[in-house]
Amino acid sequence: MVGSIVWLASYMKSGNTWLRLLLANLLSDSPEPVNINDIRLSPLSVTGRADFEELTLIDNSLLTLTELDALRPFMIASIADKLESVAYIKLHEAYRRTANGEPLLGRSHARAALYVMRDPRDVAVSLAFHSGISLNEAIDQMNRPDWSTGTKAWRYSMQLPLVQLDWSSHVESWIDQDDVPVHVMRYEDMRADTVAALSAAADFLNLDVSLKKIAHAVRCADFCRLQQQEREVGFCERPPVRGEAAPFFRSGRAGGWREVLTTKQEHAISEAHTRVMARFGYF
Amino acid sequence: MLHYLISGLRVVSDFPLSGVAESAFSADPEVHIRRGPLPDTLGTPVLAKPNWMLSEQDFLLRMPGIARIQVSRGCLITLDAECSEADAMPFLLGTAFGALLHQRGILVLHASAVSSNGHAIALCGPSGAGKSTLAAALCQTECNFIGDDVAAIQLNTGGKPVLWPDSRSHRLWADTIAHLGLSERQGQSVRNTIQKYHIEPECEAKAMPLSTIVVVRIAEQAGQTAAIEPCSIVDAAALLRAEVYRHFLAKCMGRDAALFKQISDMLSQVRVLRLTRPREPKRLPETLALLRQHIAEAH
Repeated sequence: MVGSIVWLASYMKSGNTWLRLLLANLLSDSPEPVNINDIRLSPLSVTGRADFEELTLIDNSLLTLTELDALRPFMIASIADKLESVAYIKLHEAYRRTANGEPLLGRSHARAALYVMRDPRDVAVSLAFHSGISLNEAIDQMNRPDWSTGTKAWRYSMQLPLVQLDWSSHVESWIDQDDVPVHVMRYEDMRADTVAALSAAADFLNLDVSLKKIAHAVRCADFCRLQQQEREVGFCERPPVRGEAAPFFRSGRAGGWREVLTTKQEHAISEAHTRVMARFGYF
Repeated sequence: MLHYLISGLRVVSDFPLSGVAESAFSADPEVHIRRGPLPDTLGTPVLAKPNWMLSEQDFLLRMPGIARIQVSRGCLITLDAECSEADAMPFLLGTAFGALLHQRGILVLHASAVSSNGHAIALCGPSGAGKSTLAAALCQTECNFIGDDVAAIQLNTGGKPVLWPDSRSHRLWADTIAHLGLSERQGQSVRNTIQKYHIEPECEAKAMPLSTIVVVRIAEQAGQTAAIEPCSIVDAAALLRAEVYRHFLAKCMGRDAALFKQISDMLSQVRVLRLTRPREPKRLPETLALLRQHIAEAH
């Protein structure tokens, strides 16, 4: 594999942070669990305005989305240029192209992508808790073909705009692109047999790690341990939201939507995403 | 030809520099700003980054769909705009003029600046730290606005540091204008497509003796209170290196040693404070009260 970046891509609330913690523990030299507030998989962010401005020398808060898109391949090239070892970079952005057809993420910098996918009915529940919005608002967000945030500039935001599209489009944008080799990880499979799922990902990435090391990483990133760390020291990636928000590591269960969604809400998701849900075995 | 005084330099431009007040001068200009076609690359680059490059005497910035801008020998800026010149202006007056100041060997900080009792106070910090908002809020009471974004600092003939503003008007996002009740002074937008606006009136292009530098940081945790503390000269020297405007560019231009000396020379005569401001915008008054107290103590 060539390239210095491994993309860790997913729709929001699909298990990306858990995957990062699994990988961080797998790549850590310490026998102690990785601190959830110190996940060192990449020295740079591709979604923060500050790194973008430092590398490209452009005040990107002044750019339109089209102008920003046109600069994104330059930014990714600048990041790749600075990396001294492989970086594992989290991304919720849909896989998109510039107006000229160039992939936003460039063509030659990524060695691979891991795509984490989760039953959209569970995503809706998790998204509502995480963002402090109603279930119907979460479902509306997941069903909107052009969903994005931060694209209307009326105040400074530390984060670049996020274009996520609807759930199905997000999934297929990553899985059906052929610029970067992609390995799909279903959250439900990860929960059912985490060691097997992490082993398959490590094989895909050609990581030279023993089964013992994988099992240790899985124990270190056990959901109960993550919840305990969050209770004790908080989690810096939990965003400020309206009202009282749930903890970031909330439940993590697969299939919990059955106890939460109404039939109407379940149908609103299943009907909007029938084809992709069927394609990945969610019926 | 239009005449301007920017960061203490006499500038003539082929086209209007939106947001900058014109100045009159009779001496020879030090900087020319022109329009003209530019290539995608420099002839003999010594450093090529994906969207910018350096040669011995030139800096070229490429912004797809917006403009290419070349800065040469510390005295010439050429603009090849793909959008309107006004829409390319923030990048010409920001990054390109900053590169020109670096080419001329001038110390330039990423700072907003206000004056109080005849002295300049520079508010440094990364984009989003709230420099412009703090400056605007201070100017609602005891301070006067003198500059935003690019602050050139030079020693005068008596060896005292003076701050030269970039002569651009204050620029604020719509939410800050609403929060501070400044809508009556809201002017043109900085670019057509965004809700960041020039605040009227335009400022005066005048050097002020620099007494204080405040390095602004946002609190790491929600709920943290505002805090301000003086920095030792050693801490301040390290801290201010990161506050140099476009510091990565300056490093690539080989300016590190010279900047270290310029910062050290300045620090014997300027006090540096480190201000941590709460994350919550509604707690601005708490930060302001603390800042005002320290500004008052200086006099």
